[in-house]
Amino acid sequence: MLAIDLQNVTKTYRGKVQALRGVSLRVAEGEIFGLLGPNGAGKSTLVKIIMTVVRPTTADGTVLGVPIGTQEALARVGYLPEHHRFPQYLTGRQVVDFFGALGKVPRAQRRARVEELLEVVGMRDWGNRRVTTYSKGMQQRIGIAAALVNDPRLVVLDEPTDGVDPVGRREIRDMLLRIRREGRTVLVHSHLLREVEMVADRVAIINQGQTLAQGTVEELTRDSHRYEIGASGGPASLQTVAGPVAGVPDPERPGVLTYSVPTAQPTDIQPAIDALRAMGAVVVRVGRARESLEDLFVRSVVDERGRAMPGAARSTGAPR
Amino acid sequence: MIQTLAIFLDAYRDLNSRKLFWLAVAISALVVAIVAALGIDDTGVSVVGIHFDSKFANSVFFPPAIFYKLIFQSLGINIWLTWLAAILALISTASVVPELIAGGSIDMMLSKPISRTRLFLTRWVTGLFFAGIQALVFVTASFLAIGLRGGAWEPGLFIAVPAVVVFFSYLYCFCALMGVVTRSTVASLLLTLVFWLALFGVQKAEQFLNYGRIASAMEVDATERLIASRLEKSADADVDRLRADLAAERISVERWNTGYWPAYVLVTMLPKTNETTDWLNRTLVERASFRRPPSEEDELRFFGSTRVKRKDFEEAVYEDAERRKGALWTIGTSLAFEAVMLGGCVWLFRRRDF
Repeated sequence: MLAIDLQNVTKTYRGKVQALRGVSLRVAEGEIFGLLGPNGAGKSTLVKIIMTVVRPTTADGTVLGVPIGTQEALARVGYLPEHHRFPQYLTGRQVVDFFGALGKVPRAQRRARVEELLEVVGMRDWGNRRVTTYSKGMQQRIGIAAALVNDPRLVVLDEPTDGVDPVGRREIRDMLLRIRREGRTVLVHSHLLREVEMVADRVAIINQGQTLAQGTVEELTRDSHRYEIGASGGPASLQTVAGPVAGVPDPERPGVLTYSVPTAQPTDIQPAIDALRAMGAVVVRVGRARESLEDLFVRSVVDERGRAMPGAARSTGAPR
Repeated sequence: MIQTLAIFLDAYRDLNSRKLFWLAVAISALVVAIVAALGIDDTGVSVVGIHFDSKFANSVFFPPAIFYKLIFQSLGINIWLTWLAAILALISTASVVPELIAGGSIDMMLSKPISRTRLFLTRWVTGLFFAGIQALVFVTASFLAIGLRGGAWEPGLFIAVPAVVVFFSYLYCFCALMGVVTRSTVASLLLTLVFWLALFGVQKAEQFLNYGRIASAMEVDATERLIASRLEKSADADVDRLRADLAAERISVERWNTGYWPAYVLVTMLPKTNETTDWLNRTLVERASFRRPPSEEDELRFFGSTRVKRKDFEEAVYEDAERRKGALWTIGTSLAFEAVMLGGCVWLFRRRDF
């Protein structure tokens, strides 16, 4: 079963602003799914529609097997919004307990769950202090505990590492992996692409209210695989199976040029290596490389703005 | 039920954290303590043991129970609970709706399995907590003061608690609607105060027109009786001037009625803050043996009337209010207005994207 299976999600705000133009999203159970896109792409609107904070203009599909927008679905979902604001008069423990009660968790069960989660997010010793005394990172931890208190099958986290220091980010990342190990699905929305790349099983890139690409990072960057050959004393341009490739000076190794051959096959680069040797150049490095998520993201978004983009990023991978 | 209890517990914690709440409770307790510190005997009154002789303010004119009840009514209900404490309650609770729908806060609430209607209405009801607790503290303290100092134990006094909450709810429903529309605490508070002032004005206008209507009708009756009595004494009595007065008075009745009924319809449609206070005062006369305000024996000079005794006029006004302005009209129609306001709030809240 898919944790999220949405089709044709559209949202037109008052003033005829089209935030979503028929987005489809398929998130498999038990995976960490990254939702990416530039500012104003419609990601937040999509997340808010899933969480019933925003009413869709049209939306078909299910969340955890039940129609989107129903209380039955919400009972099994945990959510941490980006700019969350907890009641200032509550302590961290009370915040988690309050949202547990709103999630219909019985009192006895809730009590044990709150303690367990405070331990998990490392806030046990701070639980009785008011949230106003917390740092941003501590508030995020309490927010994650509040999102998990109803033992959700799906956890939606909007910028969970926002404003958190590198140590805290790593801890949150570990927390996401732990949530996945418990069999829950995580939908994470973040601007920190490196963070997403490190934990996400699959991602979707949304821009201008449409899904540009959806799949594993591997699937989406498959066509960007290349081999890089570093050589000193090589020519300015090297003939390869993919045509002539310009040598780019290696900033870390003076006198070394790097030739990037767009192929995933090691046999394809052998003639180029032979040619370099024949020219008397010394091959200092040969390695396989592919696009990072950030490269993919930038390329996808730039393409939407009218520039060239290889077909690879448009492929839509099916969930596992 | 878990969710409702959680929202109520949250509201309690919210109130508990507000200094204004405790300040208001402290003022309530202080007001009652001051009243309890007053004493009355057959020679005068005493304040914290200092005696003041008085020919009028003594237990001969005012038995102790009546004395304390009168203070509770005039100071406690008519000034403190229905004006000053209500304003403090509005200041304290005007932020409930704007804070509920503030970004970051509403997202987490709406993502829980609770309907928007239930979430909004439950949160709104918790806003009535302030007025309810305030009234309960004040009335309980007054109940003890009247019982211990006046020797009269009147459980009927507690009718003031729901009455004050209902009174506050008229204003609070409008405040909530303004909160949903403007999302601003300050704007919703100020607009509610303006609304309250407008209600006060409309009700006072209706009251004035009603007094005029009743007084002129009584004047007609009095003149008719005078003509009849003069003719009874002598069939040849000269009553032409009286008949001319009667004709003019009948026209006057028509005019008062013409002005009154539109005002009455308008007041019927609006929440009745003044009328609810008056209803509470009348109810305390019945339920807690409060004394009706004493009437003067002189002639009524208002509205140009000369043949109607003030006492008779006040009696007629009181009876008119009892007959036409009972709980159903006073509170029922006000609650109908409240239902419309809350319906508007819920409609907007359900439709809005946050």
